Amino acid sequence: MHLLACRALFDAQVGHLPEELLLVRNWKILERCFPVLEVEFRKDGRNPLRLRFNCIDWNDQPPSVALLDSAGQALKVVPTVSPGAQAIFNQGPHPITRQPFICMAGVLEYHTHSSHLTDSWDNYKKRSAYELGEIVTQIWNGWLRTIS
Amino acid sequence: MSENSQGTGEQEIQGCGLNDVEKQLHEVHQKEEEELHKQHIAEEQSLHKAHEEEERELHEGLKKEPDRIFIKVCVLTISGRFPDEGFDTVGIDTKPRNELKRAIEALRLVGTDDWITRADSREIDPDKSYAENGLECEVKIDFGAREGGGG
Repeated sequence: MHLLACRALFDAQVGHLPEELLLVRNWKILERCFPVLEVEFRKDGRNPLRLRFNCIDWNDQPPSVALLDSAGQALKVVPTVSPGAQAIFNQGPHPITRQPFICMAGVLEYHTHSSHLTDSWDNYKKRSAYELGEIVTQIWNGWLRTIS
Repeated sequence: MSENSQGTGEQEIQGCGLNDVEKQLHEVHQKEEEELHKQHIAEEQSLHKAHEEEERELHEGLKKEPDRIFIKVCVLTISGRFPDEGFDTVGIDTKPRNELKRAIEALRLVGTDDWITRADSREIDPDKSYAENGLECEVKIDFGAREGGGG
């Protein structure tokens, strides 16, 4: 897709995230300038989680998502999931990035992982749940099921 | 007035020119119309006031319906808010699912069957009533996509 079209779609989907929703969810938008969206999840009693979405080829490709701590450094240890809950955070290292990663459809590191090469992004990209803001929402919901 | 203006009404009219009679009739009609218009406005104002009072009572949860308590709700999503501004007022014995259905239609969301419904910073069951979910007063329902498969 042409870069201008990627930018337009990026802006349409996350350019105007409702402030009221950001407050309710306790999200802090740190950067929102195509192709980067950086958002921090906060919750009382928890270490914040910062995510850096690189959406350079949105939405021909899903965003590449870097896991960061609140200082902006690469996360060394991924959050631990609650017993019985589905884990989307994978300690890795990812075969390409060599970093911990998010193992969930809608994230580039999932679709480029050797275990999921047959699960194409094309199967997801047209669903509401896989618009950019909803991918962030999905990861947030996964994070809320973690305990540290 | 003509020289016959001292006589009876009939004589007065007879003594008047045709234009004068038309003028008097016009004035009578005009007064009647003004009266009707005033009555109409008064009725409208009364109805409007009653409606406003009803709305106010409803929104403040003061409506005197036995065994009925109301709650203010809105739905927040990445795609927007429902309603656009303010809150809907619904019975506390109704289910969040009803409000979600209206939001899904208004915001044109698709494929939301497994989405997560939250309120008061916790997951709630949209198929149980607000009361059963322990919600009251004013609620912002957060509606968003559930994390997908992976691992």
